[in-house]
Amino acid sequence: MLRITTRYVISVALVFAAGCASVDGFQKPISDFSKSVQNGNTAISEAYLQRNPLEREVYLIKVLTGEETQLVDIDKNGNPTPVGKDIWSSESIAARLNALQMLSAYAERLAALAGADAPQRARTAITSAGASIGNIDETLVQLRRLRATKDLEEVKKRNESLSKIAGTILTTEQANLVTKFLALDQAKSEAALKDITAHEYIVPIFKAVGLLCEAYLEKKIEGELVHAIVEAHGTVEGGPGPVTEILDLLDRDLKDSGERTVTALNSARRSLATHYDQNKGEMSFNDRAALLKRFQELDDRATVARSATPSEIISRIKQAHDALYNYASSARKKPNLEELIVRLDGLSKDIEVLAEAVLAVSSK
Amino acid sequence: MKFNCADLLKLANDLIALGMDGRLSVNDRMRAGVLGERVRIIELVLDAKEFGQLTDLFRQATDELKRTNECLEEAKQFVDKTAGALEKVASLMEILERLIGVAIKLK
Repeated sequence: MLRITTRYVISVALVFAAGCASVDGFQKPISDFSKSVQNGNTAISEAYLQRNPLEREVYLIKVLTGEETQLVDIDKNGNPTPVGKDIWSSESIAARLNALQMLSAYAERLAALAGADAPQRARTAITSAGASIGNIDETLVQLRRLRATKDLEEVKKRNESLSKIAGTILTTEQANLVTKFLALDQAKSEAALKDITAHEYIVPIFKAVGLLCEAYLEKKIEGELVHAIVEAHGTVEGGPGPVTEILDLLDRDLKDSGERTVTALNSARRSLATHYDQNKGEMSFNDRAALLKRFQELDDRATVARSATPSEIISRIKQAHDALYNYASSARKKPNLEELIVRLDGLSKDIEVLAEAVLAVSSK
Repeated sequence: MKFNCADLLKLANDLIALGMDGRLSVNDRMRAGVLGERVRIIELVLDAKEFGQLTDLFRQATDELKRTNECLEEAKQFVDKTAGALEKVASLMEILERLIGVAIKLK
């Protein structure tokens, strides 16, 4: 008897393991996605916040070199200068920062769903779904106790409840196997009334029921994750979801942003170079050295800005989200999960490097 | 409707690059650099504006920008043509500054 039970335990375990990839597998790509969004957001927010200060910096360099003849809030044509008025309004920057915060909140939610506290969340979901199983741990303890007291009616009731849940969340093949297993458990419980060694098989049965419950929890969590990703991404038929819309907006907005930063830095370094060329004869060695040092700083920032732009970060976050969606909306087989893990790991590393570079351009 | 700021940004970039090109005379370098900065500022302002309809002025500015970019592209290959290209940029500036005045709202 004990051998048969153990075989069933292994069979049930194999059925669950060989089917769809579990939520455990989802943790790594989702954690990478969340990390990418956080890293990317930090850099892009800084790039937005540094737009006006960069314009002020360029203006002040031109005042320093004499290319701008006056340091004024309003120029001679009546237009505000970058020190008189921000080129980008605070409302316009705040709207973009809010969009980035929404992206962060979404990534955090996915990470929380796939995280270590997810089973507790799923237990709550089971209760709210009206299933009679209640607290899984408690139920398992009760089952053990009931079997120990040989209360067959209660064991039957609990097994029926588990069988019902299995029927609603597992594939037919899996549910049939579980039902067979529970029937066997039932037969054993009946036999236990006459068998003084009943406790010997209680342990493997207990483990198998635990396995069923874990599978249920994982299914529930995976279902929530898939739902969240598909809703956020949108579909070809239903149109883009909110996260795709935000990413598209930022993508369009940031398209020329990197080029603008490079142009601003080049304009400032050209102004310094022209000043150096025209005045080097009258400048002291120390003044020339100070000016060339300033030129070099601008040159370094322009070089980095040419190689790493905020739009490249958004583009990679988009690619990562597309990959998550493609996996979530597929049959979610293990080989696809492995591909997803490699893809998101690579994108996460790219974003980390790009984010560092974008932050370096902003620093003075 | 938005103005084609990508082309304007390219023009600013090219002019600023000419401002650092040692093959040009000091005067032409200076002029290209200062014009590049003006185009850059106009691009920033135009990027934040929307236009209600396709006016003659909008069309004229778009066409003139295209021609100026072509002219400057040629000037980059034949440095002696730079002075003429810079004249063209200066006249484009006047049209763009008028265009800014008829934008309907800020983004």
